[in-house]
This record gives sequence, structure tokens and C-alpha cells, in this order.
Amino acid sequence: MKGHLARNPVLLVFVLVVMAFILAPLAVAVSIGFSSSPFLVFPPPGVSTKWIARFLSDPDFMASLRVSLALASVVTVAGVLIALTLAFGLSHLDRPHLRAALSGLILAPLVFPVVLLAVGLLLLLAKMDLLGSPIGLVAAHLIIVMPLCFVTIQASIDRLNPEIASAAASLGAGPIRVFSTVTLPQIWASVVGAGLLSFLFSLNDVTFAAFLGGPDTQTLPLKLFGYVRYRLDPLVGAVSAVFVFTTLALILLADQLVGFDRILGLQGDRS
Amino acid sequence: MTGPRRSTLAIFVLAPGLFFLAVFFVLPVLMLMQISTWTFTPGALMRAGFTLEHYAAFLTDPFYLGKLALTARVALVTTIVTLVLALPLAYWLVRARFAGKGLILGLVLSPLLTNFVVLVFAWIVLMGDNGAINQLLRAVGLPAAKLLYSETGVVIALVHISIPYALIPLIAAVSQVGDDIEAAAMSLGASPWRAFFAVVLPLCGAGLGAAAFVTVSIVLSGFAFALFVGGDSVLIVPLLIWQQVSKTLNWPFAAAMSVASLVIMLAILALGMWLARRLGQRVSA
Amino acid sequence: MAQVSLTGLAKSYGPSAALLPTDLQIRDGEFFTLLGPSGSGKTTLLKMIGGFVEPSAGRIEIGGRDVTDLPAHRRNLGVVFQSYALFPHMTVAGNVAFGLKMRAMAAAERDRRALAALDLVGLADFAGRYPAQLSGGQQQRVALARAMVIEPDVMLLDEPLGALDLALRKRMQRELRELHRKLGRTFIYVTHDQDEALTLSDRIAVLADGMIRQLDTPQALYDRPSSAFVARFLGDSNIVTGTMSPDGFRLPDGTSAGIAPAGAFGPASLAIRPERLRLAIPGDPGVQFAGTVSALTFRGAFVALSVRLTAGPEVDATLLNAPSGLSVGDSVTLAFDPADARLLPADEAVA
Repeated sequence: MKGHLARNPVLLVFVLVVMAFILAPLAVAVSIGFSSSPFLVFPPPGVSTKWIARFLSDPDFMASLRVSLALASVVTVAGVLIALTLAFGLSHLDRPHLRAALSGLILAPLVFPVVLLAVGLLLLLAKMDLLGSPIGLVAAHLIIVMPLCFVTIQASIDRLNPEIASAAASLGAGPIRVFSTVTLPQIWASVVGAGLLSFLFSLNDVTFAAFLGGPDTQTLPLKLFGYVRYRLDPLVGAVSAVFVFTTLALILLADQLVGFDRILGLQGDRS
Repeated sequence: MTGPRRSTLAIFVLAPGLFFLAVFFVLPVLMLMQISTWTFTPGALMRAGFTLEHYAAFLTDPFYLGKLALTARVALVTTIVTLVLALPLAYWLVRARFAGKGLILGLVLSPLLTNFVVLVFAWIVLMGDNGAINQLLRAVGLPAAKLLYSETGVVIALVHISIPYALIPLIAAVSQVGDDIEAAAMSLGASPWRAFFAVVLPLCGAGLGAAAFVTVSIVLSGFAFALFVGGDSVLIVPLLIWQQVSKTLNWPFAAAMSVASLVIMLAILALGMWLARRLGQRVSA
Repeated sequence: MAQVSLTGLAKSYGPSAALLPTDLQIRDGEFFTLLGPSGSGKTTLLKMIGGFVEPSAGRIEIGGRDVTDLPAHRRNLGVVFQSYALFPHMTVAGNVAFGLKMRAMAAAERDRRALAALDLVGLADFAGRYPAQLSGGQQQRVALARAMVIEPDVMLLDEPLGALDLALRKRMQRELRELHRKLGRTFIYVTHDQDEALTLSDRIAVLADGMIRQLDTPQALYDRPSSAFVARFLGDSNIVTGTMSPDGFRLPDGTSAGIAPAGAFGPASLAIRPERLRLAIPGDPGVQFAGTVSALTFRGAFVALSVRLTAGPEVDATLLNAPSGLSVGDSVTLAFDPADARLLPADEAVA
């Protein structure tokens, strides 16, 4: 359409500036990771992979990476499974008021300021003597990952044609059968996508790890957090680069599977 | 299967997840409220004993009141700047036609999923007195700006992380305002900008409210940005909470500050919802 | 003068053509309908006239003025959208006055005219309500009032009655016709409902696959369809395939249809409206065919008969006065006047 605001040059410039603002810090951090200088200099004088190599060969960092990966894996699997039970359960609840209330409860942790949640969990875990333990951190991550998966999966279920499930039921399949043989196969992409987003969240979490962590739960971001407080060198950039690339790769994958635009309600430009 | 048996199955299946929520979400919130009233005994992390001294200190001590005001100011500025930057972007993402929208969306939302140490590191590099931004300013002949260890720097960092979060409800809101409503406004003589301000913006009231709420939530969690980018000079409430938890180990006080901020935030939310309803009340069918 | 003139107007989305290059002249003050199935290009054409879709090629002139490069908000057209597109956050009066506000009219004058427009569509009492509080039919009328009040050169209506139930639709059609008569402005109307098109229009353009197939008055389109598509799209039609030979049209089994030879020899089609077929009476002067009743449905005002002719094809007949006792399997003889049969172009000879 001629003159449509979406093609207005002023808007376009504004939007480009905002997008540049959003991506700039990530680009900066990544570029430093490939710096050839031994000192923190920006812009970096040359390109080198030595800092990445140093990161990958550092035993402490690698150990914390392993902790992070293990943690993220457990959290992802548990989060997806629990979210599936919640999605199944809610869709079969025949009381709309209860359904709305429970939906709100499930989503509540997502709007809660994370720090306040962390303090509350700190108190709880201390009481349960789980402070600093991996179980405690898994639980903390799950409290965010569970609603996240639920929202993603629920959005996908909402888009399904309800008559397909009804058809299966009319042919004799019980509710659990219907869910596993009819619903799940249709939404598997969003399940995997939810899993990817959860993995990313857990991998990148600093707040919960910082408040609730202990010597057994030195995740990579937490280690980085400690490192940055005392030393600033391109190593941080190298770790950042690894994080950013992983994040972007998984986002791309999740988008292919789930379709970010559709989850957020955009009219898709995807076929 | 319908009726009572279906609901029974549903509740049975919901039980584990809901139990988990109850224990690890509801319970912590309740404990926050409970322990905020306990006395602080140095040496012992939590010892029962009812007192309201923490609330009294937080809400009457001029030091803490000053920090509350600072937090409110930072939250207000961050929210306004975030909304001004995010709404046009949301509009463009929804209305513009181009391939790879999902990819662009992923890129734009990526800070959301990246750990903030990466971001903090980048800001330190960018905002230092000899950082990239000041280098740029000097090159153009403008005076250097003190961004690191300043409120401005913290606001910039908070705005940056808030924009992706704000985009989510804003995109949903703009999507809801159909294409044809804008077309109708233009067919009646409104220029594209006029159509945006007269029709699209008012109809995004609810979305703007949600985006504002999310931004305030982020400000209240932004302890790391305040710590690294603001240094000790920008002591917003989440940083105070962090200090109490990690350094002073005065957990009851941390709990009290948490509860107080939560209440204040909910009050602002209520106000915001009321405002949003005034603005966008005629939207819901 | 507000005639609309399209020259070579076309639209493609990548490799697929939504509208092939089209020339069209719409007369000042006429009720002109673009009729066709979905995907025919009718909505695309309308949207290009409105300025909501950019043409890939061609020119649009309204009232002698070239508006092709003019953005939508400067074309001064009254548009009624399929979804009505009322502004939810404004009152009915606010909606109707919006266009006047854009024209910087004083508030008092604005309100006066808005109220007058609402009065014209019978909704003056609803001025203070919000769109969400109105029924579909009422919203549709507000959309009409909003478009009319700015006194546009041309009114564009995109399937405005689609969401209404049958009774309401019929009533709105009558009101639209009245409105058009009263206002005397050019109306360009898009619909897929042939009944609606026949009721409302001065002229109809039948579109399919991005192209205008036939353009004429409703009567002419109905009586003299130029193709099987148009014959079938407007009303029901029997299409009988056969051969045009030197002694006239012949059915597949060789029997003559009493149609004089015309056009090219070879495969040809004949179109006959079901209501033009009758049960032969003794001494019937029309062309006659024998056959067996294959289906019979009582439809209230008429009987729908399907007859398998001994000559081969099956035809439908609509009988206003069917004899009682007629049933499936009976042998009947159908008759029609040769003048009521239309010869169709050979390349449309598809059953």
C-alpha cells in the first residue's frame, strides 16, 4: 500500500537504530572474544581465536560448562514433561473458572520480579537445607521453565482443530490415548521449541545461580559473573561469544520448529 | 469422557505440576512475608521473632527512602524510554512485509535469552570513560559523557534488556489492531502518521500497560546492572536486596524489602491497569 | 463527474497474477458490481482503486484525475470494509465524524453532519454507543454512514453484507439500493453472491482467474451469457455438449436440437436455463426431447426435476406447475423454445 507507515523512511530509520541498539552490546562482546590483543581493547586490533582456545582449555571453565549443560538438560526434560501434564490437565478440566485461575497461577512466576523470587527461594531452600545444592537450583530454574514451556505448548494446542481429538474419542480412544496419539504428534514441534527455549534459559541464568548457588553449582554464567567482578580481559568476550552463538543457533532452530512470529501473534510471512 | 470423571482425571494429572508450583512458588512468597517480620540476629541467618523494624527502616529511614525514590525514578524513565523505543519497532515488525521475520524476531529477542554477564561486560566496554561510546563522541567533537557508574548508564542498560521483554505484549497488541482499521482511517483522510496516533496507539492501551509492567519488573530485578554499570552509586532496591543477601546476610531485611517492593509494584500495576482501562476500555468486544 | 476509468490495471504477487491487465470504465452514478468467486481478483481490483494495494501496472483515473500514485488518504473515496473496521475506542458518532475531523471541519458542523448521516441509516439514537454494543447489521450501517458523510466521489464496498444472515442481508440490499438512488453517487460493489449482484446492480463485471469474463447489465448477463462459466455463475444452467454440424446443433446421439447452424462447426455447447424447460403439451411448438425422470424434489414454489434424456445428457428443469403424481422413473417429454437456448463458444465446451 502506498505511503503505508510500515514503509515510511522515518520509521525505518528509527527502527533500524533501535535494532542496532539492541544488537550492539552482543556484537561488541563477541568481537572482543576474537580479539588478538592480550588486553581489553575496543575496537579489537586484530582477529584471533586464542581467547576462545584459552577458554576451551581452561579446566575450571570447562567444569562449570559441564555443570551448566547437565543442569540445563535436567531442567529442560523435567520442565517439558511437567508442562505437558499441565497442558493436558488444564484442557480436560471442565470448569472454566478454575481453569482460568490455575492458568493465572501457572503463569504467575513469569511476571514476578526474578530477584524477589530468588530471595523467597533462598529462604525456602535454606529451611529445607537445600541451599547451594543442585536440586535447589533445578527447582528454581523449573519455576520459570515450567510456565515458559506451558505457554509455548498451550499456544500450540490452542491452534489445533478440536474436532480431530473429538473424532479420535468418537472412535474409542480414551483421553490419555487421544493426547498421546493425536495431540502430541501435532504439537511436537512446539514441544521441542519449548525445550530449546528452556535449555537456553537455564544455560544463561545468573540470578538464581547467584542467589542460590554454592560450590556444587558453579554454572558457567556464575563463574563468569565472579570473573567479571575482578578481572576484565578478552576471555570474558570469548565466553560471551560462545554464549551468543549458542543462543542464536538455538533460537534459529526454535524458530524453525515453533515459529516465533506465530507464537507472538504475528500474521506469518512464513509459508 | 465428559463431566466429573474427566475433571477428576484432569486434577489427578495436574497434581504434580501444581504441587511443584505450590512448594516452589507459593511457599517462597509466603515465606518472604513471614520472614520479613523476623528479627535480624547476626550470626544466625533466620531466627523467629516478630518485629516490624525492617519495614520501618525501609520506609522511614531517609537513606532507604532516597533509594526508593531513586528506584522509582529509574523505573519511570526506563519505562517511558522503553515504550517509546519498543512500540514503533513492534508496529514495524507486525506490519512490514518481508521474508525472514521469524529470524529478525529471534535476533531482536536474543538479549532476552542471553545471560546478562555478557551484556554487562559489553556495557562496561562501551560506557567507560575511554569506552567505545565516548570514543565516538570525541571523534565527532561532542563532550564525553559519564555513563559508567552513573544513573544514565544504568537506565541505558535497563532499557536495553527491557525492550525485548516489552516487545512481546506490544507485538500482540498491535497485531490485534487489524490492518483494515488503519486502512479505514486512511480511507477517511488520515495520513499514515495520523492514523497511527489517532487509532493504533489508543487501541494498544492494554499492551502498553503490560509492557510497562514487565519493564518495572525488570528494573526491580536489575541488581547486576546496577552493580556493574552503576557501581556503588546507583543503589536501586534490587541491589540493596542483593547486598543484604550476600554481604550483610540480613535476610529478614532483604525479605522485607522484597515484600515492600512487591506491594508497591502491585499498587502501580493496579493504577496502570486502571489507566489502561480508561484508555483502551472501548477495545474489548 | 465521478466516473472511474481503469487502463491496463494489473497486480501480481511474484509469479502469480491476482489481476491480469484490465480495462474498465465505470459510469458516473452507476451501481457497478464486481462479481466472482474467491480468488477471481475482484477484491484486488477494488483495493487498487481504493489505494490499499499498489498496482503492478496500469492507471486509475477517478473523475478524470489520475490517482494511480496518490496515497489512499488523499483519494477522497468512501470505503466500506468487509469487517466494517469501526474504531472500537470511539463512539458511533465519533466514528462517523472521523473523516470530517480529518478534513479539519469545526466540531459543531462535524457533529451535525454525523448525526444527519446516522439519521439516514436509521441509527441516530445510537450516536453515543460504542461499536462493541451494536449488532452486526447496525455496525454495517455505521460503516456506511462513516463512508458517506465525507461526500466522496465514489463509494467502494467490499462484500459488506457477507457476515449478515439471509433475512438481514435481503433487507440491507433493499436499503443499499435506496441509498444509492438517494445519493446518486457511483457505487463500486464487490460480492461473490450472484443473487445480490443481480438485485443491486446497474451493471455487473463477472470475474474469474484475474480477468473480466463478461461485463453487462444483469438482464443481459442472465439471458445472454457469453461462456459456460458466466452461464453457471449467474443462476443455474444446463450445459449440453454436442456438435455443431451443417444442419444445426446435434446432441451426442445425433438427434437434432432444432437450433439453426451458427458459428464454427465442431464441438459446441448449448446453455438452457432450467426454468425455460417445460413438460411438453400436446401440439407443443418447441423442440422436444424424451427422457426419464431421474430425480424429483419438491421445493415449495416449484418442483426441481432431473431428467435423463434418451439422447444421453441429464438436464435439470424447474417446473412451476408440476402435475401431481409425477415420480422418479416416469417417462416424460421436455420442451423448450430454441430462442431460449444459448450457443456457447467452442472452447467453453466443457460439461
